[in-house]
Amino acid sequence: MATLAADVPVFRELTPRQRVLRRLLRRRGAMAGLAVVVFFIAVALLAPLVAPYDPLQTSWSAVRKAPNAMHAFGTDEIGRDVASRVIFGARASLLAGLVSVCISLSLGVPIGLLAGYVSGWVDSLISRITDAMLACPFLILAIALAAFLGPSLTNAMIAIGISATPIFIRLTRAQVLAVKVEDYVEAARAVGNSHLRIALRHVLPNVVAPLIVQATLAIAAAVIAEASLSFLGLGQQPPAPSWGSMLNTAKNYIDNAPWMAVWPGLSIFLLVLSFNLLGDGLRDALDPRR
Amino acid sequence: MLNYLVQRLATIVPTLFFVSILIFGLQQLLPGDPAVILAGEDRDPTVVAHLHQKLHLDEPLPVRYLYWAGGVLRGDLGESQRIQKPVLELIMEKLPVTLELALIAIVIALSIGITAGIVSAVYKDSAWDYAANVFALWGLSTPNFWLGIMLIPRI
Amino acid sequence: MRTRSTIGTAIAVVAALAASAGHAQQLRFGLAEDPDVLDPTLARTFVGRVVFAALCDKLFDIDEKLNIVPQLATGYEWSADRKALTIKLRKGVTFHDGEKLDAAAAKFNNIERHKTMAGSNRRGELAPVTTVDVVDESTVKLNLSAPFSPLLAALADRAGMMVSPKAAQAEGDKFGAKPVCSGPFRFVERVAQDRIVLERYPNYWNKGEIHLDKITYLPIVDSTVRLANLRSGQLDMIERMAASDIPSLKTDSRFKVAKITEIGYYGITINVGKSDLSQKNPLGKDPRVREAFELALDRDGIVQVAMDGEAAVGNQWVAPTNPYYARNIPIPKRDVARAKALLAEAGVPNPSFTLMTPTTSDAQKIAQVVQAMEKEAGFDVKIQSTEFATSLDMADKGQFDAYVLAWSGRADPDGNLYSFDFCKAPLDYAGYCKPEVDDLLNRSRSALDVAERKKLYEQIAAIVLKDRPIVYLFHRHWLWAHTAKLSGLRTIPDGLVRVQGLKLN
Repeated sequence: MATLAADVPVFRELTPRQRVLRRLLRRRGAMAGLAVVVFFIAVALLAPLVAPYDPLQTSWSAVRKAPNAMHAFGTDEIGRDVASRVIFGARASLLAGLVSVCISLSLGVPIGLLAGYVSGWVDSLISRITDAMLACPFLILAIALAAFLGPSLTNAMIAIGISATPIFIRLTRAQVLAVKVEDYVEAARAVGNSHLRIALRHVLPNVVAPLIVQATLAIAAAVIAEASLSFLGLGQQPPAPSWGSMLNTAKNYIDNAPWMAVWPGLSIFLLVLSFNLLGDGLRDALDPRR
Repeated sequence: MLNYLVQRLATIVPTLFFVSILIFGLQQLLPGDPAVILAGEDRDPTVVAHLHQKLHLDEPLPVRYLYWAGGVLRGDLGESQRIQKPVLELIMEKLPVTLELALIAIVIALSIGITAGIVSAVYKDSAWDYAANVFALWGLSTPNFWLGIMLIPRI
Repeated sequence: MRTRSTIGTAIAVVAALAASAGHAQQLRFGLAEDPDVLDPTLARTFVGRVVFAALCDKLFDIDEKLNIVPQLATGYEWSADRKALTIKLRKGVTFHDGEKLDAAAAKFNNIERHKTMAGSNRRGELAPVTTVDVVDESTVKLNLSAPFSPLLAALADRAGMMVSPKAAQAEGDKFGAKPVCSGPFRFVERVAQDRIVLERYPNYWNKGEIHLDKITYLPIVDSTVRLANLRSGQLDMIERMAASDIPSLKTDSRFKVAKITEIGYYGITINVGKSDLSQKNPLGKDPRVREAFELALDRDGIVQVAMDGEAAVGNQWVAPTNPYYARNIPIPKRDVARAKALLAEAGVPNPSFTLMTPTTSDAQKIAQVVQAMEKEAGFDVKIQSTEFATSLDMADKGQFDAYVLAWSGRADPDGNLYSFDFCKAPLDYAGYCKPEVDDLLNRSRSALDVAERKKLYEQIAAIVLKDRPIVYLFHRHWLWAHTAKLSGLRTIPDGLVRVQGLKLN
């Protein structure tokens, strides 16, 4: 990122990064989203401290009890504390969101960079495969991959990560195509830099902004995807809690124990909403036309 | 212009090829032996063997791909092994309903969506803009399977 | 997409409301799954049998007490050497296409179709039947290679269903798309995953018992949605309702709940010899560890928590109320101290193993309750929930320590036992193999006398229930809910709804 400053005209008091930050700070929605995300991360990290009970502790005498003084969110079908499970479940959701997007990024960005920078038949091949993958619904792809890899949280993250990769390939490629004809890239080439150096030092830093936005939105999608896979029994394995698997069980008791569905669902909604708000804010803040 | 069109159309062929590989591959990825599932609770070995042969399950993967792709190209999507009816027929049974639903949904979605979009753009930063944004984000962020569950008892 | 699906639901609800008007004697029956092909020879699912109960009559039927009673047959007789079964057919029975049911048709159904058709699922049930003789127009004789007592129960199920030979010959393996049988209702139409419509057959031999004009079977997989449809009046009856919904329905006078203990069971299959894995794990290797495992279980607790009390505890392949239940081996009481002592004796105070479970909600609950109970005795149970198809695949390859598995059950005890405990039988996932048990199993098949069979089952129980290839847990209740306007529902342990006598007031 250090080279970035040299290529862009500098204002007197603010670096571009500071301006972006300032614009972001002014957006109330994005800040609220960030606050909630930070809150969930804190809850996930401190789960053993903030959870009132062991999330796996069953109690035959307290099966499907409505919220009360002892259990603020009620208990589930085998007498576990729903609040504690929601708190520990934040770990699975956040982990899935972050790790799977890291997987998508680490696969999609190099491939997209390659396609966009090298062009020719390599580009054609990559683009056709990407088109084919994008023709298949994201969740269907993830479900098939997760079923193939076997049900576990790790495999669900890999499946989601791979399924979300084509979007990043396509985005990176399009950005690279736009950037590589810029004067500073031409200049770097004229000076005799190697292709690898040009791609990594001059092209990549200038395509990062839209990737950050896309990654943030992809986390939101990945959180929902993890919940969906766990809902289908392909994610987090019992008895470990995950919001998706909690909903899967809760759907059988929606009539007589609605609290089992309300809290995990609300948590997914809040977390996804926050990432979406943050992503929208980042998009506006990083928009060079503003 | 014509040149460009031809070029674009030419890329469809390899894309469709990869799509076909992907679709076929996804079916193959699914674990478990389809014959064992189809054979029902008893899993009579002779029935399993019969299904293996009927579904070409013992042939190598590329051969099975050719069987499948050949059928698809001739408009034969195969037969539902569960109820012994052509898949194409099953799809056609459902198609009118699906189209009707999709059409009505699109009309409703577009009329609300475009109106809300215009209103929020014209009256930027007004309460209307705010409401439209909140509604859009709510829709994006609610897991639809959760919404479905919560609505069931209210049918 | 989100908006689309919500609006879709709304439109579907409105459409369903519009369609439900009128028809007093139409029964709308919510099924838990979409049935498979409606051909008795090829059919393989339980839910398909629910539809067959209205569509296709059988030679025999079973009653509330699991007795074999006549249906299309009026009587039967075993030969002295027990190797021939003579069956008298009911006179004046016709198929839905007007063809007559006679001895030749019965012969066609039992040999030519069930035994020779490619992919037939009935071959195993009729394995000992070698030939069928037409004695006279309404008498057939089934010749057997060896005595086979479970045959009558098989003829009281799909193997005994009579289809019209004319239609079957014309349609071949496409017969299931438009089945022609001799049951009280005939096929009208089927839209896959949506509905199966049957109408009353006016020339049914027992038409005095039929009060409904039309039956529509609607597969609705989700039990909550099924119940919601019953409540809102879209359905008149649902099968396999969730036990947890009973209390709320009981307070509603518009509905009634009916139940009976199933003929199947829920159990935990233990890999005792299916693969090398069995010898690597103390549970598979040492019978004492398996005994400790069973002693740590509180079956009543499992039923209370996992099934909301809607199941009968059991420790055998048949329920304690079954005439063939082996009384010499009663349900063991929970004894954690004894379990711990056994583990100490075996030298593994804290054995660890993986419990594979399908992703169904019942199986997962059972696994989690078992895990918690076993922990108290020192077991470390790891749950591995696996999609059903994969779990079967892994069970078949012996890639498991223990496996939560349900069996829908057969009217004859042989159907719950032989295929599981006979060496290398198709469902012997445990890998159980004991020549003396195989010998007893074969003898139980050739014994026709109830008392004699009971004695043999007691001997089998004495061995098998100590070796524990399967630890049986309980027998579920079949649960139906229906509108209070429906009367005449018989609860038969096989879970199939007999349409004879059903009436909507």
